[in-house]
Amino acid sequence: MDRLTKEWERQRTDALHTHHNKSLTATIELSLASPMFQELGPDARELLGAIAFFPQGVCEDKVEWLFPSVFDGTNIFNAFCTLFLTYQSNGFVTMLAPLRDHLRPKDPKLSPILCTTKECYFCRLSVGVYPGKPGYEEARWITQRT
Amino acid sequence: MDYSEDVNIGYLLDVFTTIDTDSQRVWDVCSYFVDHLSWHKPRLVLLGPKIEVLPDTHPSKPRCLFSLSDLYFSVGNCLDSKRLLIHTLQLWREQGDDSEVAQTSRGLSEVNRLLDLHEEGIKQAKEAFEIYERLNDTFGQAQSLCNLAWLLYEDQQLGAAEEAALQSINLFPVKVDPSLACRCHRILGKIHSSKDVDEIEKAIDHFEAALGIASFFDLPNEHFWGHYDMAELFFSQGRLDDAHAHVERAKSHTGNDIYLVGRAISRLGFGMGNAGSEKRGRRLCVPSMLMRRSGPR
Repeated sequence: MDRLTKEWERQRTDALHTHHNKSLTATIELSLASPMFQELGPDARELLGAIAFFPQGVCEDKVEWLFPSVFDGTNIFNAFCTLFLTYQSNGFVTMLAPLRDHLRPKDPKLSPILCTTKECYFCRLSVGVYPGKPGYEEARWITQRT
Repeated sequence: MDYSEDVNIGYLLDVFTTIDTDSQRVWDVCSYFVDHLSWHKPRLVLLGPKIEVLPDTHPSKPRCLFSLSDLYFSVGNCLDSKRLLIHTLQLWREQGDDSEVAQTSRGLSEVNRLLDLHEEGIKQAKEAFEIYERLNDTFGQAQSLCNLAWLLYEDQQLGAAEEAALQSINLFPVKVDPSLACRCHRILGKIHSSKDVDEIEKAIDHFEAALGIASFFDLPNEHFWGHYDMAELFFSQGRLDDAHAHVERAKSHTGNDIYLVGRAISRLGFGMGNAGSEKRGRRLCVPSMLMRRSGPR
């Protein structure tokens, strides 16, 4: 068990690779190559990467806001759940750790969708917070799920 | 596990402050994020150590340090809050930004009040006031005077405290900062309560003024403290029923704030001579929330 844990820490999902392609990576890639996934459009893969990036996943109610450039984002998110690539937990859409590890963007700066999401957060955060002043109550959004 | 957006944002900023180190914007957003947490979810963040090791020449460093000191203040760590404010003050002085020097001095005066370092705090509040006066910043003057009034009151200089509080209140219309107006009225109420039995009515007038403002502008925190102050006054007068009623009303404005609930229970227990209740209340009072709750900077 110790050895397995060490190996996991060292290689993460690469540790699951085998000679006969019966690896987790292959399984994930097989799912992503399926016609049902392909039908979700060209943004689907990158969208999964964005979900994988965030430790909590993505808040269900903020899909349209966080991914303004993605057409029909809510339906794509629903399809991810149907395909068991993601699941819902406490108002967030997230995924299992091995999937996160595999799908998370290696260089977040190179993911246009993630960079757009970052801008959404940055713009919303860039307001002064002072009791009794405009914006103070609205700033509570960072502590809320929805 | 805590499910809310701040966890994602903290992670996002942690990643981008690592891979995008030259971007001033990322650090500016860090400062805003820390401000959001200070007011709405006080907790320490991984970004703290990263902010502290930024080079002093980084344009965002003083702003980030100031926000971080606020966060420490919010979780009750006055010593680290003060340490960061001293560093911030040094950076603003080096940059020659008087307005920021004044704001930081004012912050330091408040931290020193909570550390019971009244003399040091008074000096800083006066320095802040003088700078704001030079800059013709009326609101800054009012804020510094209010801080000064609290410090002087706690240093038993009641006459000077009253003068500072009155001067502050006359400097700005209530609607500009209702919370500040409440704090001025509350300190005036406390000053009158401490002076003489004949001044009790004046004290009540000021506490009621604070409550009126809190009610009009919907400020639950100020509502709580207004009733709390009234309860203290009535306990000191032996009017236990009135005091009890105000503690109950204070409790109705605690929201989900465990600290405030604890303060109310503790005060009630103390006033009614119920040591068990007082102790239970004190246990609820996470010391960390102490000063933030007694009035924002």
